[in-house]
Amino acid sequence: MVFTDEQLAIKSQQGDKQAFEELIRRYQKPVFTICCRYLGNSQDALDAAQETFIRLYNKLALFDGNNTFRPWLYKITVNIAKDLIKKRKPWEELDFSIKSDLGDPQANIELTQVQEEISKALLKLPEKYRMAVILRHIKELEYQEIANVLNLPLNTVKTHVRRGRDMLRIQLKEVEL
Amino acid sequence: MNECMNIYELIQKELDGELTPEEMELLDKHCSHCFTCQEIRQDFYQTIYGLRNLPELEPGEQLIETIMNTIYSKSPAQKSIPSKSFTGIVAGLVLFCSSGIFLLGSVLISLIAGGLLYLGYENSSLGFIENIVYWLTYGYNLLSVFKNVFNNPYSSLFLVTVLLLSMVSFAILIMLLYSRRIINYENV
Ligand SMILES: [Zn+2]
Repeated sequence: MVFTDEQLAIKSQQGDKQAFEELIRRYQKPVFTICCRYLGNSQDALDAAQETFIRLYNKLALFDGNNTFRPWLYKITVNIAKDLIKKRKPWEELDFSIKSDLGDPQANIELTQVQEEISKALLKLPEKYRMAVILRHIKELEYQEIANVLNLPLNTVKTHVRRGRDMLRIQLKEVEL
Repeated sequence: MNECMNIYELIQKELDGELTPEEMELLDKHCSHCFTCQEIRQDFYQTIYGLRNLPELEPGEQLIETIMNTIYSKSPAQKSIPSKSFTGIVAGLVLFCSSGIFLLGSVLISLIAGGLLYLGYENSSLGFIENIVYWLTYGYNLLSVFKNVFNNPYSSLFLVTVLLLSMVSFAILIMLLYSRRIINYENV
C-alpha cells in the first residue's frame, strides 16, 4: 500500500518512525538539490537539508491534513537555505566547486559542459532571482505555488523568474557554448 | 525596434505557456524575418532546457541516518557534543601555542635580518664570507639590545601584551576559517 505524502505526515505526527523515514526518503533528493543549487556548496547543502528535516519534524504538529505537503516542506527548505546564506561571510559567497564535489562522491555524476556552465551561471544570479528560477525551472513549480513558498506576491515572483532567466541566457551567451 | 521589445515580452510569456494563439502567430511571424528575436528565443529555449535537465543530486545515505539519530535517539547525539567541544579546546590551545612560537620566531628573524641587511650596506668593502660573519655577530649584538628592552617592566609588558593579542587573533582567525569550511582539514 502506498501512502500519500499527507498521509505519511499525519502518521509521523502520531509518532510513526517509519512513516517519517519514508518522507525523508521521498524528499531528500529534491530538498538537497534545491539547497545545492542555491548555496553552491554541497557541505552547506547537506547541513541545510538536515536542518530542514529536523525542523519539519518539530513542526509536524502544525501540519493539518488539508494542506499539501510538498510546498509546505519547500517553504521550510527555502527559509533555512536563506538563513544560511545570510550568515555567510562575504568572502565565501561564491564557490564554484559545485561541479566536482556535488552529492555523493561514489555516484559522481558527470556533468556535461552545458550543465556545468548553467550551474555556475545560476550561482552568479542575485539570490532572490536564483531561488525563483530554481523553483520554477528546476523543480518546475507553478507560479502560484512559488508565491506561497516564497511568501511573495505572484507578480513579484514572475518578475524574479523572468529577470533571472534573462540574466542566465545572457551569461550563457557570453561563454559561447 | 519597438516591435522587437514587444516580441521579447511574448517570448517570456511563451516560456510560461501563457500565449494566446494570436500572440503565438505574431511571434512566429516576427521571428521568421527578425534574426535577433529568433536568436533570443532560441537561447531562451536552450537555457530552460538546460535547467530542466540538470541532474537531481544525491545527498548520500548518511543524511537519513543522521536525521533519524538526531530525532529519535537523543542520547548519542548529545554525547557527541562535549567530545566535539573538547577537540575544539585542544585545537584552540595547540593553535594558540604554535602561533606564539611562530610570531616570536618571526620577530627574532626579522630583527636579525633587518640588522644584517643594514650592515650589508655599511661593510661592502668586506669580502663575502667576512661579511656574513660580521652580519651574524651584529645580529647577535642586536639580540642583546633586545634583551635590554625586557629589563624595562613597561616595555616588556607592552611586548608581551602585543604578542598575546596577536596569538589570540591568529588562533581565532584559523578557527573561524575552519568552522566556515574555508580550510577543510578533513579533505587534506
Ligand atoms: Zn525582432
